Amino acid sequence: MKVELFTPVAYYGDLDAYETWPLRPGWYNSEHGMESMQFGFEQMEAAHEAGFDSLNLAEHHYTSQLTPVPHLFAAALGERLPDAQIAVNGTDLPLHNPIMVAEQYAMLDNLLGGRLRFALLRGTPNEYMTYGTNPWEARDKFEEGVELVIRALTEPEPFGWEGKYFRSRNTALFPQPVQKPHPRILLSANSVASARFAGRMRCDAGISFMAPEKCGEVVAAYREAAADAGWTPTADNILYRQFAYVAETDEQAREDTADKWPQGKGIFATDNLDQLIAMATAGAALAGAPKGAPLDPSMAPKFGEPFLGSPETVLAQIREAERHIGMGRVEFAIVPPSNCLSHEQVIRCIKLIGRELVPVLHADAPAAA
Amino acid sequence: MTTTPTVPGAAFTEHAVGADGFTIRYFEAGEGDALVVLHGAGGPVFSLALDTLADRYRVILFEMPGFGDQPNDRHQSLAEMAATIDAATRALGLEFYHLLGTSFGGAVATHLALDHSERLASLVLEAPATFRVGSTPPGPHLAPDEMRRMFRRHPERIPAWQPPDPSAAARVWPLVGRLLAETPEYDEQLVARLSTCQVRTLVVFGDYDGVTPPDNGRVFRRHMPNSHYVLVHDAAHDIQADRPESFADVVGDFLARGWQFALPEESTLINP
Repeated sequence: MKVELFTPVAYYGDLDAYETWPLRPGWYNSEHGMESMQFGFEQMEAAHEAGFDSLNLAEHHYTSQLTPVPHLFAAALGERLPDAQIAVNGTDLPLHNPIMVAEQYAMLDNLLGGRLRFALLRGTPNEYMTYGTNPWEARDKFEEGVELVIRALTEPEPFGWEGKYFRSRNTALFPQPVQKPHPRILLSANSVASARFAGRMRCDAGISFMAPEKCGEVVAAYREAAADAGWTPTADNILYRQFAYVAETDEQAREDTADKWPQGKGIFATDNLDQLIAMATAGAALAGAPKGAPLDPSMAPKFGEPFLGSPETVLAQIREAERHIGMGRVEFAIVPPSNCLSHEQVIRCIKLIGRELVPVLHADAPAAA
Repeated sequence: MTTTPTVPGAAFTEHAVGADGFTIRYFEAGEGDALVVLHGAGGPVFSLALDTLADRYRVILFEMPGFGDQPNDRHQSLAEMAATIDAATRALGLEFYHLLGTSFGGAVATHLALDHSERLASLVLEAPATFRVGSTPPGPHLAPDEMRRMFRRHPERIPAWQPPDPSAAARVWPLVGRLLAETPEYDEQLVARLSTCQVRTLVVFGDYDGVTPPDNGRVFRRHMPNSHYVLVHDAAHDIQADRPESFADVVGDFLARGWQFALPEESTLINP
């Protein structure tokens, strides 16, 4: 099994409140910000030295995660680590012009010498309030956007696109990506509908934070749709992302995270009830609820327990997840909301994973179909 | 603004014109610059897209010789069919006109542009059968569901999908086969001729075309000096039926504005 790291490039400066969205720009201290970005590089470098197979970033807005434009960080990271595989997992596609997204990734794949992978995702509910994006159109718009990105990355002649949500009458990517036909693309498989789409599009499937025992249906949907599209995914095509923190002992892990991680309100939280309802409404829309429908708690995602504890405990959790999901890639999301973990603790965690878990997981048989 | 009728073709009236020894039936609607339309191998079909284009153009939908009640044993090539259509446009007094060809009609329209370009204001090729690398020719050997998927992503949209009439297909297939299906799927000489054709051209394919892979549209973009290649998303071979509004938009814009169709005119000002 391959082992990947997701780091949010956390802000380590002081904030009056961490669990609020959006963060107040006036709280930002550029010295702390620049230092935090340096910490992000150091965490990635530590993971690379520890044998992680991919160093992954993601797009989030207006939070203490400092990569609203992860491509920029990825490009700089590629300069520091010229032999690392780097992934942006991923872009909140409905928020953007897909052609510009394709251009960014084509250019980045050149800068990285063909070491790029990326994910196209729909984003979190609050992010539909970032640039003002209609959440009720998200799935349809996302799916068209994915098809347009792939077309733009692979089309050898200038072309136009007359879509339902996107129109471009003159598109011609130059540079093209290094990897042919394009870098590997991961799509969310957190629901049956999204898993089917990932299979149909011949993309990798990413399952994020879901309870492993709830994932059988989506994995089956992914494999069925892939078979209908004429291909067979291997375990390597399936990535499972989960919050993770590993310490020498279970007690140490709980102590380090102060028993509040990741059970806190999280980086997209708010104490404003009106805003909370708006976020929940966007979340329901993303889950497929029609406009005006009452909020239905049963549509909320079924999150699993974080990978939290000693190496032995976390390995057992991974094996249990593997039993349900059959993934060939596990992504440790070392995300310290509320800033409850110091940079040094994150580095220690990464090194411990590298020492105790990476060799064991790498020793697994190669991913099979 | 004209309200689009929900029964396609309601505004069209039927006529006939004598040309090149044939009596050619045609259907006409709208006013403005002439837009001559050449149908696919299934014969003339009305669509909401043509209705919308008739709001801005004088649309003339020809029934090509051999696709009506009268047989056509005379034409032996697409160029000959194109010459007959050229004669029909002259008989109607059209000095300068736009030309839209669909599938088989696109192949005929390609030859019209090559042989009679001087009277073409612009050329639109909808899923043209001119180049057919990797294509799946429709026919009775295919299961009905497979045929439907090749032609339509949205068979429920107006006009609802109808499988080809076997007797009509049997009547026209020898003609289609003689003029098109038995010719090379990729003709280098045709490519060479297109490279000197200056007609302003738009090639439109549905990105889910199950008859002619849309990649064939690249050939025009690569070789024709003044051509565009546009994919209509979520459409199969019959773009006019699958995405009528989009088809009418892109074609209407192109006919009216040429290259400037890449420059949106709609204001993005929210409030002054």
